[in-house]
Amino acid sequence: MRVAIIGAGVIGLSSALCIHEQFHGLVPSLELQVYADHFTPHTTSDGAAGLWQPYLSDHGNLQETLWNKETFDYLLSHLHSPAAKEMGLFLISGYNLFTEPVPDPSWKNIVLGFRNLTPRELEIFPGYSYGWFNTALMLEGRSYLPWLTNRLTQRGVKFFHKKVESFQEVSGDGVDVVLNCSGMRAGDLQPDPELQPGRGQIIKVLAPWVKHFVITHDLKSGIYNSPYVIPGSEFTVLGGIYQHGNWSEENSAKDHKFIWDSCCRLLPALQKAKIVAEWSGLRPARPSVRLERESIRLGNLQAEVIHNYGHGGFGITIHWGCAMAAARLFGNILQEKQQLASPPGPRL
Amino acid sequence: MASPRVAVVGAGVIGLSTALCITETCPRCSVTVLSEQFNPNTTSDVAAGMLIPHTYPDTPIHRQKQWFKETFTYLFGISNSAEASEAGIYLVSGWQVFKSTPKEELPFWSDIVLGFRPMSEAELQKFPQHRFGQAFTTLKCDCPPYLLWLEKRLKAAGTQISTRKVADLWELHSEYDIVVNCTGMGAHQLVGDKQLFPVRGQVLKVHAPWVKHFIRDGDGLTYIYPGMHRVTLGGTREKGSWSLSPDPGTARDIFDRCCSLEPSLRGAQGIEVKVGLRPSRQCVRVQREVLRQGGAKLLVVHNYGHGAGGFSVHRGTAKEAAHLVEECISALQGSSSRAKL
Repeated sequence: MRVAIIGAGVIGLSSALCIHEQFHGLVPSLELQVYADHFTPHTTSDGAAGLWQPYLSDHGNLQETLWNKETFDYLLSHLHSPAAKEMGLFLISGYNLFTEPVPDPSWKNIVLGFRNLTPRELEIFPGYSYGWFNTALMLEGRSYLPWLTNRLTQRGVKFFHKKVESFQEVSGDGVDVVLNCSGMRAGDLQPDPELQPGRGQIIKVLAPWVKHFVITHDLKSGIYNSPYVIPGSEFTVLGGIYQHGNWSEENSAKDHKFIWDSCCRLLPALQKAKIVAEWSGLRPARPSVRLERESIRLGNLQAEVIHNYGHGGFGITIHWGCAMAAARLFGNILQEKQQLASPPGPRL
Repeated sequence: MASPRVAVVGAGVIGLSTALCITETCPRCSVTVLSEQFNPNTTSDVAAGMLIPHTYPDTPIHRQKQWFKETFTYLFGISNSAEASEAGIYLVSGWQVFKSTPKEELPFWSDIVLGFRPMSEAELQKFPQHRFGQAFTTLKCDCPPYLLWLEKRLKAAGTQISTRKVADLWELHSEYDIVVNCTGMGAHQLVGDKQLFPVRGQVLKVHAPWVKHFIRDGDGLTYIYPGMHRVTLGGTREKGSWSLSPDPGTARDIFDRCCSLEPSLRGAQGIEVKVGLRPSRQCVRVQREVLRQGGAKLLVVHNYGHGAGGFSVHRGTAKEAAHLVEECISALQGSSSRAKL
């Protein structure tokens, strides 16, 4: 049973690991192959700050809220394990700021210690009159992706550096299942007008005195279009750009100025922070995550494709719940294939 | 008195902040800081600088609260300014956890720190050996940056800073009108204060930049305080011990205790061991005194004995000491005008 995974970002690697963990014991012939044009540290996941936090509203998408919760709980259970440091996993607390009262988010009971900000806390942030404080998790892509890669390599999973142009390319040669974790490039494999880039730009700085995340919200301009500051284990990420439909991966001077000026206004101490890097990436945005099976006829072969893409700006936040859902779909495929094969014993 | 000459003895957080307050309340004073040690070799440099007050048994609570509030407010303003990183001042959130419920559920400072509240059950899961906890946000004062920043402001205000071992306050009698004694543990010898005793503290400073919260056991013995570049792991409270030599067995014990509170510390690198003697006293001595020898008198303002709580109350006690210096100046002016009659 050969499985080809397209994409080596957080979605591709974690789906591969989840499937291998669950099924390699049941399916001795299970062979996983990861195909990608970009590997860590050059994936979209590597550019993300790595903060676990869903969007403000799930738009009634309870399935996604459940996947977010599964991811948080899974990560929390690893917090005290010796692997945590290597995974780039640690607790972090911080602030979400608003200019007006807002309803509590879908994730208020998933994170730890969720509460409203007190008046004295709001004094820290002039211009914001309402907010939340909570403790969440950081999962840094530049550590997590290598950790996933190591776990997969230990399990005998093979990696191939190539840009896959079609499902055919990987589905011949005895591959039974294709996992489509191609993120922003899923449209190249199969047109999907619902998948659009949500372009982001970030500035990485040295600011080791920043111990909290600070995320501001401007309900009129939409998610991530308002300054945010997220401290990592080495660098602090400054951001606040979300441009729907913009495919450019070039850093923009105008966006740089917006990020820098607005973050320094938010946290004046940042004026002395040293800039070390700048990066632009495309969030694979979609009204909802595409996580479903599809049978694809390729010549005289039939391949099962499991789509797992369109995680927007919350890929890290939702990744494990989606990986487990993808593994369940894989399990369904296995069951169906066994029914099609000759039964193990006589049937009445 | 045109320009009172004030000597501040001691260049830890108390000496430097007291000198700075004096330059603020008395701009016409000529202030000199004299000390045997400067950063990074003061007791203050060993301390983590967390603003979590120590309770002095014999100082009235309202006075301790006022000191803490003044200090917190002062540093809070700096933390939110462009100078924050230079001064080493920033907010840190975290947890104080207890193995058994403390008798005092609300410490006197709970409304001065930010967001103080009991921990939820879910939060306590992280500390399986502890049954109760408090979550809050407070300030941290990193040394040496804070001491360096104080020195920079002092120099801008025209303060002279010199290395000098003062063996006897009377040495300063001819050069200075008022002497401010901020010698911390040194006061034991310098002014013969037998109520002052060392409480030895050993700490580890480690590289663990993923630790973003403070964690403190309510017994005060085990704590994890994340700094800008290093995390301070503590500690010990050895009453009456004068030893400044690091003890390897103690170091291992501190590391193990901290790892049981925060397992990820097992991956910490670059462990440095440091020792400081907390200048402890039943109450902080912020007090005026007139020393006499023969016909001569020496006006002294004491500001020492802050024990485990130096950073938490430094600005409050510095301001009080500066007011006492003002009183000394008035007294000197009074006696000099009397002398003119």
